[in-house]
Amino acid sequence: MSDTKDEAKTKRMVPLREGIFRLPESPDGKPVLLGSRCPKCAAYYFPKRHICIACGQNGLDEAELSQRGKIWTFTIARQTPPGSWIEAPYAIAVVELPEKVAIRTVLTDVDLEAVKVGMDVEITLAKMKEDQEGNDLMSYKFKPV
Amino acid sequence: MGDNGTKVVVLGVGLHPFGRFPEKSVADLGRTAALEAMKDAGVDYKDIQAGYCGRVVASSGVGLSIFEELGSTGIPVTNVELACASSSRAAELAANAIKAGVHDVCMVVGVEKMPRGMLPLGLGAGGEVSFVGAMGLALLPGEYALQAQRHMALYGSRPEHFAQVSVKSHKNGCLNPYAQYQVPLTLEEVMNSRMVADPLTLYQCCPTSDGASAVILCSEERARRYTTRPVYLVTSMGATPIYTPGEVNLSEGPTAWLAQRVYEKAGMGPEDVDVAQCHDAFTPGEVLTVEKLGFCKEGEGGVFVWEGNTEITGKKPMNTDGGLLSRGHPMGATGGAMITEIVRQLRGEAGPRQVANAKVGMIHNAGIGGIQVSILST
Repeated sequence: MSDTKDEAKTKRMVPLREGIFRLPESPDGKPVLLGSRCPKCAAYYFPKRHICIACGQNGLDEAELSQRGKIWTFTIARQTPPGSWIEAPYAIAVVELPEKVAIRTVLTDVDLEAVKVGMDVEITLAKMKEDQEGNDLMSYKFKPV
Repeated sequence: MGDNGTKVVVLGVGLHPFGRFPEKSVADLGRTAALEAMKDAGVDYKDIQAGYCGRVVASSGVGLSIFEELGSTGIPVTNVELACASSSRAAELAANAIKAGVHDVCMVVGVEKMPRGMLPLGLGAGGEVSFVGAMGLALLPGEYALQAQRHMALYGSRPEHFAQVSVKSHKNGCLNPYAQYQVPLTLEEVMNSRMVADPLTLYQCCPTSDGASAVILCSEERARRYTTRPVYLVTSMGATPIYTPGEVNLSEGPTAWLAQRVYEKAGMGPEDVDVAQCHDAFTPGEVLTVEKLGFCKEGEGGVFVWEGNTEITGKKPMNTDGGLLSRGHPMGATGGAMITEIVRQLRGEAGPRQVANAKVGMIHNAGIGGIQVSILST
């Protein structure tokens, strides 16, 4: 028995967009959002930015953000917007993290009728599509804790 | 306007009806509105010293293509873009030029031709999908729905409070021959229409539209040649969102903060406003804005609308011509249409839509990119 030259490809996870979040080691893990933190006044931002709005510092550090937060507000999209890879109906939420940043995201593993302002949610990995090489294009969503 | 002594008058207003006009070009729409405004003002094209064109989608040269329809006098023409507030911002720029003594008479034409359906905010210029778009987050009704849900959670406002805005809007639209929709809707019809983004149903979303508006502004001194009862653009100011650490911001700009500055500049308060226009692209636009303009307390906007205070006969008549919801929303034209209705109200020319004794009007216009708030008075 010999190994074939073309081994069965192991499926790779690839982020849908680089620099926005860090993939976990395995598909069972949770992603980590990457924002910015001001080295001068400790303000946090998401998405990343270059200049601190609070103190004017030019040059912000990359910061890993909390993986849990609360729903600040939400809506249920009933019509799929142009270009969306997610089909309606789905819940859109603004999640507030302890760092006082607001994450605009989609909810998953949730009863749409049960979504409420104030709900505790945590980040989770979401497979969006396969790319042309058969890798899984991954993104993040949030789900009830 | 006012602080260096030169007052600005809105001398003439005009519209092309809002709706679907596939056979008409942007130039056709603009020409029609401009001719109506010039006739209203009593001026000829040769009297116009500068042109401004508010538009969103149409590209370079559109302003010239419209003004060239009217004549060829060599005046400077400037295209102005602030999404749905383009012609409001253009009016401020024209007024500032008049105040500075650069021009005496300016015309602002707002125009748009739009395809049907949702604005493809998640797609780039070449049709490529952005990250936000792919993730289903580029949903414009969603932005207003997010605000409505927060308002309901914090203040106990109800879905029918928002829906009532559309009922009132369509009732007013029936009285406006230029409106895209001149059909009344009941509360049940509004609430039972297809849900787009909870709690917003289809009839709580403004349509896409074709249309044009034109506004002629001039100095107070010049206005004396044409009218003994001028309507003044007292002040018009713009703003972009202000970052406040720890606060979540979902709206196009800091409306309450800007309104306060506009009131101060005008030497007035919310109690002085007799008639108003606000950006009701989606019904929460009116519920939230009446609070931010100081017409009622924070959190009470839903009840304020529900109890009829923004009807033509109410305490603070809002969008008496049907607003974006039923007048329509050709994005670049809307600012000028807001000015047009306020001017007609202040002149006593609003016919069946007339608010009794209207002397002071206020306008709130929002767009992706900023907001504009103005006060007009007799």
